Amino acid sequence: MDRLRETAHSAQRTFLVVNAVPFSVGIALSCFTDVPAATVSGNLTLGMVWGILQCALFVASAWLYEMRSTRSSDPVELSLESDAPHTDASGAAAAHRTRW
Amino acid sequence: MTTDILSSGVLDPIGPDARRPVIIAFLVFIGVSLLWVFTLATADEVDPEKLYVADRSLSPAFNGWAMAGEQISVVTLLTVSGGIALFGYDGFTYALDGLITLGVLLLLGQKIRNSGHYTLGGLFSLRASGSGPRIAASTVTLAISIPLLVIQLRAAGISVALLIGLPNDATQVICTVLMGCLVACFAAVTGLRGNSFMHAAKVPITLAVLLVMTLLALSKFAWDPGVLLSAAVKNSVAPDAYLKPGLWPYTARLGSLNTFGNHVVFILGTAVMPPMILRIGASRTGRAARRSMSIATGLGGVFVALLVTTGFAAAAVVGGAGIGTVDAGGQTAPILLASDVLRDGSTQRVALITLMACVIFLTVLTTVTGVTFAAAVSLAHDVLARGGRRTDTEEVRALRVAAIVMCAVSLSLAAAIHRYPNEFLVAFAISVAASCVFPTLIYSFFWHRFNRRGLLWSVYGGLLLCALLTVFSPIVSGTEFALWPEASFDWYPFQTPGLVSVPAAFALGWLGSITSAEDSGPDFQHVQYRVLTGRELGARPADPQRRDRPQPR
Repeated sequence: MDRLRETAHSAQRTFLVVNAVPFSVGIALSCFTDVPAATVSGNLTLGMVWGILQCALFVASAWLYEMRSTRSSDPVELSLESDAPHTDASGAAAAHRTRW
Repeated sequence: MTTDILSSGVLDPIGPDARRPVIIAFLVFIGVSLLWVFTLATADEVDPEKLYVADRSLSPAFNGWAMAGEQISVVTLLTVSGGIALFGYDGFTYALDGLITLGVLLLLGQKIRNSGHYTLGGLFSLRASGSGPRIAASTVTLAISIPLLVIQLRAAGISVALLIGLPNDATQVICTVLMGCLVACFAAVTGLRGNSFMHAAKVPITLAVLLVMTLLALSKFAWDPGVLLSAAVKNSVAPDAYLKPGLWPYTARLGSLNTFGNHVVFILGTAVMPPMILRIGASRTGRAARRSMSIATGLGGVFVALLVTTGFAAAAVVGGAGIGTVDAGGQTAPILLASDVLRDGSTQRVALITLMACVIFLTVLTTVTGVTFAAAVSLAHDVLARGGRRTDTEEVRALRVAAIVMCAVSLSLAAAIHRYPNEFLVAFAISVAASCVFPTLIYSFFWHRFNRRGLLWSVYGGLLLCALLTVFSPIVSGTEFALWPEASFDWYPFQTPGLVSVPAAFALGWLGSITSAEDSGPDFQHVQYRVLTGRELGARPADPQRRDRPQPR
């Protein structure tokens, strides 16, 4: 149980920090300073570039978070399920599952 | 968010040659939808779980596409793309917020699914017993859903009236009522599985149409995105300020803190809306819910990229002045782009406008149905089904009645406030979600001392503050875009009450919990085990109110 909590929270923390820091910096700069208005190239401003990179970072980190959770948390959770005779509380395993 | 198209005069953005196909498409769309509703109505479903959460049987891929469909709402498709076309960088940041919302769900989705609950009532009762939390949850669900329904139905009426070429008052109200009736039929009959099919089908259609428009716009600018962006800047209403913060007139003049609050509250609020929670509940397991969110994030990224490009393309092709003439908020930008990106009189132009119209019809139908259905489930499951022992058939009937009543109330309100600005409803609904739902979920999942008193203080305190601060905000009085521009009681200086109510709800939740003698520590161990594994840790004290607690198999 503790191992599951630790692995799950570690992946969540990494995902949160990786995205929250650039997001907070970007939004704070955009709201309180003129830094995002600085021109980078042609018409492209720093704010636009920051936003595009943040978008790409978000999608990439979500994919990595999923990979990491599948690799590290899910096996622990599955082993916990097979070891302990607890009851299914989530309403999972619908008896008549469809292919959807 | 929804600006008053009528304010700008009589308009004909798509031209007479495309009118007939668009009207035919609209009628065919309504006909096919009704046919589908009747087909579904014949399948006499009496199991509430099957209706509410598709028997928790949706695969990660299918639910991921449906979740991405939830993100494609009337507001994101029309208002955000219009905001980008008219206000450049400011609109662009709101498009990013929609994507970041999925991050909040990615972190909370697995826990929500593992908890076994799919309504706010169920989630609120995780750490507090009795009927109080469920009543609070239903109040919050209604406070979020009814304003959202009013806004979306009104936007639907305006957009459809514009597409069929009759943007006058009477037609807009008739279109609003028509779409509302269609929504009531869908919400009462389809269930979550039918709703999910519509959402999932909407995603590829919307992405394909946006992609075609983007490519056509790029072809006009030598396939060079830099040239397209330069044209967008040049043709915008304020070329010097277009790609800099502060052009959005409603928000910028209220100061930096207001803009900051709008972003944060929008992200937190939209992530925990009742339809999102219901959809997460339809996943097979917590792991499947997380995977669905990952898939939705990828699709959401593609949608946001296309939406941003469409917004800039609209500014480049149509021009800011042209878009602003039709609609001060730019809501018609995607329609105008479809209309102007190909030469007049061509069959391809008519086909593109018709496809865009279909996307808008589908978006309106799915979004409003989703909100109505989630609210109806909450009422049927958390309130009506708890007034004594009810059979499944009675509960399903209660759901259908609740859906129709929700639609009737929202339609009446949408028709009644048709002529008035309704930005305050958006701010209120999103702030209620961010203030009453988000803190409760965080405390329920992560804080061992959270208890019944903390929950009730947080929820009711947040709700009360949202209502009070909205009334005294500049979107209700004191500014030209307010509900009563001539009145002046706007002592609260921000657009969103969430800037105060979210921290206050957290503080009240903490204060209520620490001042209560109730020991919630042992209960927290059970909850923590359950949200991590989706399984129950031994037996808990019996609570007759917790009827939806999954029983051991």
